[in-house]
Amino acid sequence: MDDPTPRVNFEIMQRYHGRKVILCCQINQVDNGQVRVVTPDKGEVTVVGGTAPYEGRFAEVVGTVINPNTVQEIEHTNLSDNFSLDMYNELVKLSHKDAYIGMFYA
Amino acid sequence: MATATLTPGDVLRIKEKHDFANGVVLRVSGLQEVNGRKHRCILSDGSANIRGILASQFADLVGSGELSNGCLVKIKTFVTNSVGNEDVLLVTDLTVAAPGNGSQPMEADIALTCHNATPEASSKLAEGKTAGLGHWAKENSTPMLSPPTDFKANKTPGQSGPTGRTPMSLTPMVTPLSISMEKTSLTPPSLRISDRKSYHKIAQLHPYDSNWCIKAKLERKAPLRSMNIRGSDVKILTVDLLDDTGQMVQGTFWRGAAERFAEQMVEGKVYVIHKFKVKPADKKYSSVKADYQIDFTDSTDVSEAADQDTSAMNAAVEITPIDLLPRRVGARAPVDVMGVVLALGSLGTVKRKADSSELPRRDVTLGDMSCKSVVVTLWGDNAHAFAAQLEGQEGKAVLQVTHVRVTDFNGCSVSSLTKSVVTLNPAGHAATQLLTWYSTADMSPDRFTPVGQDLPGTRGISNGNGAVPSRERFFTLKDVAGVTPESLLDDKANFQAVTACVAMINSEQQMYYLANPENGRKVVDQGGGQYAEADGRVVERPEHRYVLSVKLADHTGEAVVQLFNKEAEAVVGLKADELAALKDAGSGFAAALRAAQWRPWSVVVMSKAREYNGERRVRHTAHKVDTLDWVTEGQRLIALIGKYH
Repeated sequence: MDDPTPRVNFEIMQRYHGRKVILCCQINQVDNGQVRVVTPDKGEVTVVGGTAPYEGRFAEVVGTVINPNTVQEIEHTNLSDNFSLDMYNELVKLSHKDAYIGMFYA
Repeated sequence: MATATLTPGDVLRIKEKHDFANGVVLRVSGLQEVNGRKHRCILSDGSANIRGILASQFADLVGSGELSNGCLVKIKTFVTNSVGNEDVLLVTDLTVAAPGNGSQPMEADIALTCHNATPEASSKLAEGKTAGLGHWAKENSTPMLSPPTDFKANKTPGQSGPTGRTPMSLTPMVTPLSISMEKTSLTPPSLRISDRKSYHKIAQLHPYDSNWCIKAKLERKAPLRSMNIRGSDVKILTVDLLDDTGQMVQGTFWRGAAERFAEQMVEGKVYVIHKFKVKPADKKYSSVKADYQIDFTDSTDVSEAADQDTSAMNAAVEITPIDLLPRRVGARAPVDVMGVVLALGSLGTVKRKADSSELPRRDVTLGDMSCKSVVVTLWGDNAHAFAAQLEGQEGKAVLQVTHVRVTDFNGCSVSSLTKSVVTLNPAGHAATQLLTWYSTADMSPDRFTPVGQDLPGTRGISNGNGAVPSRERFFTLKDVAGVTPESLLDDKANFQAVTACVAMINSEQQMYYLANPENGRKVVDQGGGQYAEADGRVVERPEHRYVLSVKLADHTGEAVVQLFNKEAEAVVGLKADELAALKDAGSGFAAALRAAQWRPWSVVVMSKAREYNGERRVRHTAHKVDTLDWVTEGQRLIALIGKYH
């Protein structure tokens, strides 16, 4: 396990171009092989390459950032509806703050 | 026999395990008896030292005075050992080559103290002194006193004029000895004067050595206190010492030494203190900002410094920026503040509750470059300080107050203490910098925000409804458990909102009582299906009401909290009647209790102090219990986290 896989939102994703990230998001639309999602900070991203079905409103996608709007999926987990995207966004922001980043992504 | 002489370099050879065919000649100093009849000493070759242990067979030599400090010994057989990082020379065969005489002792301060009544004790002190001093070679020596001959000590080294200096004649500055030393003098004799030149700095102190020597001003001498330790009363004297680096440290004398020095030490005088233990400071009890504190032992030696110059010994002033003051709220160690004078309160007085005496007080508002202001309350003399000069100086003068306490009054404010020092326009870069900033940035008093304003848990002048707990602060069960009978004033209740789970419900307790459904008052079985309240009123169908004690737990700790009907119903999920039915039925009861465990709740805990059999205890009750809405809770936590940076 070399580099930690950070949890990101749209804005933070840009810093991890080409890297593996975790994105929790709200599902907007599922097209064939492509899923359009809303990131915690209300950005729009397309997730490509997923095979397993997406169920429910929320999902956690682990994938590689291939361009500012697209994530190549490695795997994903369906989340229940009892999920607050705003709270999650706060977590993502806090975990990347200078003061706390050491706790999360050392 | 060839005249014995010292050969510099011998000690090194000893350490390198060279062989000495003819033995090695070394000079003895710092003789000290240790358990059994062995003696510790320092052995020198004229330039280097090594610690030595003389086997018990030489105890007689020491006792007779033949082997004494300053004498030369020819050591024929010995063994070297390494203890820690020190080498020790164990002597098994030696002869005294030359008696201690006239040669320049390398150690200073052989002067015996006379403030110890017992001759033995004072001779021990002398030994202690010299032993420690082996550390520093080439100390300049002080004139020496030999003890008056009516000393009956049998362990005094060098009883017969060891260092050969003519006693008595070279002692202009030493305190007069009372000749009959066995009697304690009527007035406490003053401490002897020390002329040593090399000291440690307070900043160098650490617990891993005990051979310290510092020269410091007695900044403060606390009144002699008595503490009960394991049944006996022990006297304690706490002192604050300040050295010429501006560093302050706290130290404690015990028992006899405490009483002695309480009388003899004078605040403001400079003392040389030798040999003491250093330990990490106990922040709970120390009012001095330091990492370590000192424990003076029975072998600690205290003497007045010959050089009483205290010009350099001013407590280093460490200014805390006003915006960082909230972090120090409640800390025991005082801080120093400095700021531009923004507003001056008028001189007022406060009546002391205790004796109705009037205490002058004055508030001054100071602001600094953080654009925050704080109100400093000056008491007593400090309230009068600079009263005239401060008039009209808003925005034009800088005030510095040292040793102030930070409280959470009005969020955050600062109060002076007896040892606070108020300085108007202190010399130094910082003050001028403040004034320049103030004028160039075109600041005015109203551009400062009071530092306590947006603080969580603001305790203001008017805090009306005590039942509303401060949700602005993050409380945990550790805080609840930390509420002591002392922290609760009289019978006031303390409310804390925490998030916790029910860890355990004791099934053996009485969980409910029968009550009148209308008013909840307890009813007693009259027999025959009739129930009556205390005043006789009959109740047809009583209901069970909860009075349930549960153990709450969170990640910081646990607390036993009592829940009444409404709250317990929420936690158990069953009405008391239903639970009672389950209990009577015999099955399902335990399961119901288990089901109530380990769910998170938002609980407002009310803590009150009560008297139980003469003992004051704190009782916790659940004032309110809510299901945890983690989203709202998360938002609250985020807001609290935001306040940290």
